[in-house]
Amino acid sequence: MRRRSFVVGLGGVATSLGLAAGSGAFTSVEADRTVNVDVEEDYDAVLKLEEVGAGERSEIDGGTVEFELPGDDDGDYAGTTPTGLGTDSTYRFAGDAADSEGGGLFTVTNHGTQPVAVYGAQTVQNDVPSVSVFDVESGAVLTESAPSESIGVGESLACGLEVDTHGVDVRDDAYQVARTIGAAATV
Amino acid sequence: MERRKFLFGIGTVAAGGAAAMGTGAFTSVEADRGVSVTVADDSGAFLALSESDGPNAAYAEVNGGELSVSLDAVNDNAETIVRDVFDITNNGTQDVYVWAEEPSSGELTEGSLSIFADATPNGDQDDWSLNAPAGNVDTSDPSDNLKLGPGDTMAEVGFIVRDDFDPSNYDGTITLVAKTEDEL
Repeated sequence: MRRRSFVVGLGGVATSLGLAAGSGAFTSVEADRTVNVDVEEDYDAVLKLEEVGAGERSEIDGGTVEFELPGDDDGDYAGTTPTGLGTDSTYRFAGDAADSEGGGLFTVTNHGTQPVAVYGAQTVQNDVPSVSVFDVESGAVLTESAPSESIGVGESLACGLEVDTHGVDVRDDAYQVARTIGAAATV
Repeated sequence: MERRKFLFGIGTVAAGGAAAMGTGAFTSVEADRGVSVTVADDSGAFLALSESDGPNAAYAEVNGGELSVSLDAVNDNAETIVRDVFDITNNGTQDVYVWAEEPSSGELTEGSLSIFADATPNGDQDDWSLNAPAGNVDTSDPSDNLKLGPGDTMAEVGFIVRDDFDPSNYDGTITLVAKTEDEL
């Protein structure tokens, strides 16, 4: 397993606010403490992201999940060869090309210690496809203000991607979009 | 592009004194992941729309890869039928049901503009209506005429314009929908 460790200096600042200070009186103190951060592969991280299904609409590259629509192998399963998404459309991908059950394009598993809610976020960019994360079971789009139901420790959520191409020009080169997948504790 | 970005709740941990940065503990995490999306001509898209090979393809036009339909000079107070304008092909990997959402409001009144196909994938049914209310399609139809398997085509899609429709006022959008049975 590839582990990368970073040691980060964390500066803590405490300012006296008129507290009754005893013999240890101080006006301020700065103390540097170290924080160790292990960066893990997606499949081993606290927020475990796993690609699902064959077809390479979702795949692992360099330890992280990435998405490509259409998938590299989209043409291998049904004799169809889509060249892309149509413009002025809203597409939902609930599974990879080989998946006929809609079991999710990826799963998010909570490997933390408390329940979390999962969401997607994207910096708004004009003229590029807008990508949202949705819960394939409920169909609900997951946002920071309206995240998923609480996902317990060890539980997983099957997710798909919704892509809105309204106002997006047709072009040969794929659009590269950064999509944030997040989780926040629900307690 | 930066593909590995983990924002731990370091502030929260420091403030709360709950310095439990041990195995797996986290308050929040955000991970940026790359999504590559190709936007293609309608003719090659997952749900492909292409001009028919008949003379009424003249009513369809493709601008910037996007198919649109112009029904010019339609008679007032008449019922005008224009057959075989474009085709719809399922380039996905699953069966989908295809239909056109009936406009719920706006310039179109219900029934004033109908959309139909003359060559459905199952049995080449004529005059098969593609109109359905939003999100509502009858999958119990035994002929499954709205069902397109991978690679199947709903061919010879045309329009009926009725006399209570004033096309001079209409420049709008018809929404074509394709959904797998699970999504219905």
